[in-house]
Amino acid sequence: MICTMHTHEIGSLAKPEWRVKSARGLKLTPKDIYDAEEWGRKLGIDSQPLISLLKKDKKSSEDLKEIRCISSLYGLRLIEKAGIDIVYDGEQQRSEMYHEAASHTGGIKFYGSVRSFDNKYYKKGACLGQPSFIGAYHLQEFKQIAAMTNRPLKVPITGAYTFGDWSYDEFYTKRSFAIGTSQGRSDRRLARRQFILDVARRVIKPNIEALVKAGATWVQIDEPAVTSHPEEVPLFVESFNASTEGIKCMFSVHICFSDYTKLFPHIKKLKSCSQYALEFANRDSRKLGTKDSDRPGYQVLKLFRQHRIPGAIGLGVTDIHTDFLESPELVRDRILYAVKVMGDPRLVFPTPDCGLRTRSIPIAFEKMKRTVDGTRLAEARLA
Amino acid sequence: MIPLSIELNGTFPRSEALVSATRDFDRKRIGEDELRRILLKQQDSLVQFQEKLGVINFSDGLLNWQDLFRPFSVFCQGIKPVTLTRFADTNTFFRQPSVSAKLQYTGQGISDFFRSSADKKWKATLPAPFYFARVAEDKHYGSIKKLALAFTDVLADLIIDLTKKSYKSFQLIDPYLGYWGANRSEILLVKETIGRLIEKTKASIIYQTSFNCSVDALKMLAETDLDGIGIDFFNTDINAVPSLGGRKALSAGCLDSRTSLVEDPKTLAQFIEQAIKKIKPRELKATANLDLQYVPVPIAQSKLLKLQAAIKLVNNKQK
Repeated sequence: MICTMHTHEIGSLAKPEWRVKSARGLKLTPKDIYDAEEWGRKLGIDSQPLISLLKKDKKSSEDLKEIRCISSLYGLRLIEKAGIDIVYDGEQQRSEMYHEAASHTGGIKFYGSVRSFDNKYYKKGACLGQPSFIGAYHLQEFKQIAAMTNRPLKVPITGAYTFGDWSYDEFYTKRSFAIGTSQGRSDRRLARRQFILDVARRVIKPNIEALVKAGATWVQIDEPAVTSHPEEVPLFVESFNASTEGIKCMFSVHICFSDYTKLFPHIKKLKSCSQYALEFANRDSRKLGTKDSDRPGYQVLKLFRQHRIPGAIGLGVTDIHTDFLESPELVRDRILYAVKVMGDPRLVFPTPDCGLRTRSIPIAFEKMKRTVDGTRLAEARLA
Repeated sequence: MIPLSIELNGTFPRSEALVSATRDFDRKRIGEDELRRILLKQQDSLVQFQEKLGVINFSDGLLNWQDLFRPFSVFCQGIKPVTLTRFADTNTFFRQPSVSAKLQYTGQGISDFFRSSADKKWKATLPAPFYFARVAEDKHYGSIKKLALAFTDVLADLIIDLTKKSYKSFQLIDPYLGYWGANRSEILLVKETIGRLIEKTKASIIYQTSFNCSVDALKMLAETDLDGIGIDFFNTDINAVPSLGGRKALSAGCLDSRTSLVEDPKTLAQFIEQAIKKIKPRELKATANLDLQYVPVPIAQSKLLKLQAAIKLVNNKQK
């Protein structure tokens, strides 16, 4: 069978307990060690070097770096074993998408944890000075992963708009508190624009340049916050273009849990975006079928056609916030529906909705595998 | 002299200890008893902090609510949490409530979600019927109006139960009116739900709007029998707010819960004086424009302490 569609993951996977506890300096249990051995065996990895490191009472910073690197190998092999075509490491060496970027940026200070939903939080930073590039924070990770696989890589990187939106700003806004007036709102808007464009030009762009220089060919810019302020979608477009201007690389954008209708028509002005990876399964029905009424979560695809947005779709076909395992047939029908709307299977890249870090490793594996199995079923139907 | 006080608006941030405990609980590193111990510790500390602020109607901070709707799936039949949905323009999400059967209040487990004690007056924070009806997935009622009225009846039963547990004040949260807006018939529906709720409960209810509420909606709220109206003054122009003619309380959202910058007491005091002069409330409850959960605990506390200082400044001038 000819594979016409390529699958990829979006970003994060859960970190194994042995990785988390080592980083936190906590004592590992026999089960943690067993998991490292067992998953090593399942993934065809010689786990002995890792076990030796994990069993050390006192781990040096070099040991911890090595453990993080081995965690990347485990993440990468898990994704490969699931059959995903375009891979990375499940962001095993990173803390969290915002924290990783902000903690490597000059001018940012962290204040504490803020809840995202349920028992999920992120550490929120405040911009206290003009953001500055300290160093290419994904470079080492990229080089290590590139040396571990022959499959094509897609490097996820936090985008400037989300970076700015998820930060407090005490530098650009300063202390202009206008309570009960429209002047305050307009001052805040101007300050946000300056902040976000500075992040794009001074932090994100140099990071991408370093990755491309080291051989990265596909960079996915993660922008989950894009439609949070619908009136600022043009600002996202401006920041995306500023981040990627003049860089020769394939760029895609990942957006999730958002009102995608707000993207139109503004995203027509994105200059170098080849793919839009969006979450859909979370909002879709679980019944089989390829009619409009069967696929309520995918209706927004029509807007991409109506507005003639160039580029492909990264099609979220598995819900990353539940343990419900989509059948390959359900995945197949979601893909077939998308192909029907988009008019060309080459414009559809099946993916999980988002990073799978909130799922256990066995569930994440199964969701990725079903993404692949459903893709192959769809290809067979289309052949 | 206009009575001035501080009230907490909606959900308070979880402490770093509670953040760690909830994560550890999810990963089965600690059990339910340990999580509850840490939760109660932060609740106690929050109550003590409110005592220090001179709060009259105490909030438990909704520290164990996963979102504003989730507890209703416990004490009300017919509601299930489903799709993860972004709340307005924040990076915070809630599970959309899905209504698949007739709503039926059971009261089961309400003590887990509403702390109370006889020595204090408590304030409950609840989703407004219109807000619920607009964001819920309706698989049963078939119209926003029917769903909103059915949820009003659930709230009425809940409020009646809570009044038996030292709850004296009820804050209905409605960001929908301000963020997404409402047409004329929807504004009338809001009015109908408020009338029905007050008729059934006779409770003291504050309708807390947020974002930029329209003049029409604010005028309608001012005409109801609500005890008070809440307004987000970082998004609503003070000139757009109708006079309350000394009949209602103003819950004035004058701390910006979306920024880490801590407000200056003098600026806050000037604003409070201006609000008293222009809006003419019966009393003013100073609060944040949205839930303080958008900033970490130390910042939330700093902001509230500045508000306390501002109120002292205004009270000194009023004397």
